[in-house]
Amino acid sequence: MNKIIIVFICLFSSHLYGQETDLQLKGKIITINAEGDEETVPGAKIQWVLNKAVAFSDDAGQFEIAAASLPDTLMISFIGFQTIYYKVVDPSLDFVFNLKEGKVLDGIVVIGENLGKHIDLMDPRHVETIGTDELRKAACCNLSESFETNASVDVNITDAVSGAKKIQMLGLDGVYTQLQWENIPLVRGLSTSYGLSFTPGTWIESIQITKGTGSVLNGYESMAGMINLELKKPNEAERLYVNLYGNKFSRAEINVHGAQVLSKKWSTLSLVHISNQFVETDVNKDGFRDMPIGYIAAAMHRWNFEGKNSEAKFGIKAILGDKQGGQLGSSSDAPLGSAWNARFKTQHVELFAKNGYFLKKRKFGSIGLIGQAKYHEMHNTFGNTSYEGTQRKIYLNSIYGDIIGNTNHNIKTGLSFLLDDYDQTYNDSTFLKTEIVPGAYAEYTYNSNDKVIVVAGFRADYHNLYGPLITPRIHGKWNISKKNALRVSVGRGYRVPNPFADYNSQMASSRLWVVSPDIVPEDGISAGVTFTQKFLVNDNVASFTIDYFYTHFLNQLVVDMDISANEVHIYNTNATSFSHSAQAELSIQPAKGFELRSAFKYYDVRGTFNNILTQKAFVPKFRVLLNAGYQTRNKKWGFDLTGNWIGKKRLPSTATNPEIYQRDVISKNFWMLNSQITYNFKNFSVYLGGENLLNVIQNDAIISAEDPFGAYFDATQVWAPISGANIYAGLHFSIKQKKK
Amino acid sequence: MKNIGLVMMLFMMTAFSANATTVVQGKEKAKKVKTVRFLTSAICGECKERIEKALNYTKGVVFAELDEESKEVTVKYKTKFLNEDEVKAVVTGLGYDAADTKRDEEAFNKLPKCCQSPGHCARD
Repeated sequence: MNKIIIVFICLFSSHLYGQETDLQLKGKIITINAEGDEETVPGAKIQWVLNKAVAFSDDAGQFEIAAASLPDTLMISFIGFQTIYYKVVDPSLDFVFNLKEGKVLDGIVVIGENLGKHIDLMDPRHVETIGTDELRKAACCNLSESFETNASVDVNITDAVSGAKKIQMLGLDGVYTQLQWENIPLVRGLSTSYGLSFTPGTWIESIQITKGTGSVLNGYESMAGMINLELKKPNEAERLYVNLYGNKFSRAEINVHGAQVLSKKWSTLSLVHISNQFVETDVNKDGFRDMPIGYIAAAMHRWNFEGKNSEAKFGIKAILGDKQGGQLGSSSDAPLGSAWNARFKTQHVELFAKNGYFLKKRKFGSIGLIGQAKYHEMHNTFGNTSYEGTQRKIYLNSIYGDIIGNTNHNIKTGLSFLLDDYDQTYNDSTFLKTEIVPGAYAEYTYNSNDKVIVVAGFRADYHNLYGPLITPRIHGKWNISKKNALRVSVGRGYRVPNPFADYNSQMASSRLWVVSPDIVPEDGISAGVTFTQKFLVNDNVASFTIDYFYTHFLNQLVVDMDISANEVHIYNTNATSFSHSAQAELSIQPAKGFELRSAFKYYDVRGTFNNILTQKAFVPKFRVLLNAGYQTRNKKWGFDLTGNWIGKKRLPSTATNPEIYQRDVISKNFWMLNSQITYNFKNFSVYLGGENLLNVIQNDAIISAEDPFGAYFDATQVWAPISGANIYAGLHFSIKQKKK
Repeated sequence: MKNIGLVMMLFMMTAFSANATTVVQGKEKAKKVKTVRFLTSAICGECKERIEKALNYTKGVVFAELDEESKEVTVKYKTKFLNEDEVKAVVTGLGYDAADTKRDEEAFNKLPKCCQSPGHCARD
């Protein structure tokens, strides 16, 4: 089997009408075996690189594939042989290809074994994908906990009362990262502060993370990054899936999914999630619950339709939550002036629909429509402070996609419409706001054989309150060789803030809120360079990525805690504010089943606080991530260990407080160590894990914890875990869908 | 930092203990553990999963891995529990050829279409 030659002959039917094309490209794939005899090759994959249409050769080696408008490149691949690329310009010719046998080192797809987490070399943007395997490595519990083994997204505790977590990208607050699921907005508007906990981890099939600005197709937000979730799909999900989880702090969760393929076209999926914290715990002995007690219940029902020229996805999602934090034994029903209590009540309902149509007259033309209607209601109290908010939202987006001339030039364009109706009450003040934002966008993609891709996007929105918002963005990718990619991106982004909701957890203190009455959109420019190199170590894929991003705010909503220790000022400013972020990441597989990942991050995030350009509080300058995973060769045992080193952070000054209520202005650095062991039985798996295994606890995290109604109480100065080591256990049980 | 080292070590020890045991067995009772490699008629990732799962959960099998490119399966097993023919019988019983041993036709007919002929694989 030294030299195998595949001969590939295309035979064309005779009627040709230029580039308009109902043409079927027919052919046969054969190989010459070691004896020099001709053999047909069944099962070889034939694919148009740009059009993406796929065909396979049949048992006689014959195949047929629609030749859409040309030129386009044919990719012929079969396991064990080198892939052929052939640019078809004139389809009236017959082709013969000679190739050698060999391992497929295809620069387009990830070579070697598919890791749980991978970076695509194809996408014009730098996109990291976290797959189900990676998500299962740290089995707890919702979206905020799904980035544990990922270096690009940092997760922080927002305060010592709500138990909520917030993400950071490029060292910038999570509000600057656009979150969506399958291109439908996810954590936005009033759900910004607590929304991450409303998406259960088991619903997620994969997560795509893009640093810097995203596509203009999804709107003008996304300054620091874009996170898109692919949730479980009705036609692919498990027929029945059950997950149980419990931890040391009496948190229990249950997830049940059921999917049904009703016919070739229709399928449906139901997902139910209930999580409950039963008992109050106080590890750091400050008299406060480390985590609020109470529940979150979430359910989703979705449908898929796949027709010949159209497809549709639609469904409903609902969330109900009620949690109570605060002093031990406190209750929201108790009379005023008793123990300090914080309550978080949420109701959320949304309807969503996505439709796609392929145009019969234009082979490459398609129309997509996305619609979402959402109702979100929050009732939160923090001691004597209360906040209520209601958001009614309608979101519509349309996408028309087509080629210009040939498949080297693609265009996506469409109109969007957003209606956000807010009704918010902070103590005695009521704020009403209706945002109506119609918009239009166009995105042109130039693709030169996938080697060089340039995406230029432009969108214009008209905001009824703030006037026009113009968003230009450009992304480029160059594969210098087949195993690397150099990417650049520059773009502008905006965000209309809702200070009371976005920084809701800041209410867990006696600080007086001083909010500017003239809130305007935040406006920033983000630029970045990313370089990824893949190489082989012991026949396994390894990758090295280095990136640098710079974000500059032209206007920013600043949460200023440096003016006074008992005030928080929130105002727009065009004073200097920027972030430099650099990251280097190495991922290798030294042996079969053994994976090591390390990342080093540097953040220089500065803003003008109290009129002085200083380091942004609570953002460490340095962070390190180390991850080791091992799976036994029989795939029964899985081990995972993750270490996160968090460097020193600047903390807001508490110098104006009495001495006992003063704190250091710089935090300590510390390691967060998590580990999990999984054992897979034939139809189910069990896992045992630990979080914060070094038992790191921030001492006196709450300032003036003994006098929560006093002037100095502050539970927002949190820079490390407040509850110690956690031990959890759980199981996954699934019955797969029958493959057709 | 001491703590971290300790935890790391503990982790490594647990992680590799499963392998360590088989190595010891391999040395002391060399004849009792055998590794066999043979070609199968597997086609796709689904086939890989079926074959690996069935073998890995067969009593006496230490591990089974199928290389998706070459379709060759590597099986390490304890001779006390089964022999090479019995290993192959697990594969043929699933509906796949194991080297020269022919597949069980009844099982083959029950396989998903993609696992019967690559022409039916809708996605890669």
